[in-house]
Amino acid sequence: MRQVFRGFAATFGGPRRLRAYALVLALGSVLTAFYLVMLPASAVGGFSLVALQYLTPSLALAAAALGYGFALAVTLNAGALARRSRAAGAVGIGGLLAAALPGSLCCTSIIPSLLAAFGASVPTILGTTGKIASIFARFESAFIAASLIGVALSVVLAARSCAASCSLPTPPS
Amino acid sequence: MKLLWSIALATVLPFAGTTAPARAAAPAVGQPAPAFTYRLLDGHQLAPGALRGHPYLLWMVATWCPSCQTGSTVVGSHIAFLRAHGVRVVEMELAGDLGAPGPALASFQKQVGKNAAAANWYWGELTQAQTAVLDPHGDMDVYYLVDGHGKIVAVSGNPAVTWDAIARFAAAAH
Repeated sequence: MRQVFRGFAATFGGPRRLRAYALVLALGSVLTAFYLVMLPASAVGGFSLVALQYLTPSLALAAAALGYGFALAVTLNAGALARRSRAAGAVGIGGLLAAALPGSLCCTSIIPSLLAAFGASVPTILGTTGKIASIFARFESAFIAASLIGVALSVVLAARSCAASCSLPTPPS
Repeated sequence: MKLLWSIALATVLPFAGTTAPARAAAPAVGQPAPAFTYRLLDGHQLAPGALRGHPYLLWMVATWCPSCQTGSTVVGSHIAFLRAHGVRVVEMELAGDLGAPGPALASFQKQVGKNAAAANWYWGELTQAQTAVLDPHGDMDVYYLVDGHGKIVAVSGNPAVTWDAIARFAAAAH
């Protein structure tokens, strides 16, 4: 835990702290805006601004946590200059992807299109599409929860990586 | 490299729209709508003759599909408008919910509220053969707009998003 705090201190208390804050704000805002539309997308069957009408407070919080959390991980990783940061990046990207799956794969034509692309017959498509797509509908909350855990984990890993490789700011003499 | 693929996938997936590429032949715009007799939830049958001369929305849903539920709520909030324009709604559950049986259609219908019982709204279930003809792509939440002559004038999906097109169809049908 101490290493995590050291990582934060090195990134957000060092000489390049303004750049770090700017990166978190800019990247976090873009990603949050994206997830504000993406998380309720399954309610409207795809990525559409209409989905904003179905945004709940808990989804909005999750979108902000994913967006700014991932931006935080990226900023910490940038501070660590990619040293030992691969795990953090993979976990963070995995988290972002998992949150996008329900809105992308449930109630859109992606799954039947993929089945058709792999040469599935009409009866197979009609009997299989629901089996796959319904998983994303039924376990949507679990996907979002897993994403949040993934992004949180990536922040911790990135902070630890940074603590191991970043130079801490020197206290004023 | 794996990270790059992941980012590419994350970028592309959300924007993959709801329009499937051309594959098996589904009824197309300009063609007559298939003259099926539909099995309704109340045990009655909806014969082609009952729809003849009336514009209607033929809509295929799965009961576990969130966008179908949202779309039903949106259509429910406009059902009086559709009725005023002489438009009927034929909302049909896809056979076997495309391989993943969801809640009963009756409980799905219940979530729409009392508007679901409107006289111009028919609820029923497609047979496997009807599903294969009307939805050979296996898409969910797709619909046909059929004019008073029984001709398909539009094929689309997700009424929660495309309500304006349905409203225009209804206004033109009047």
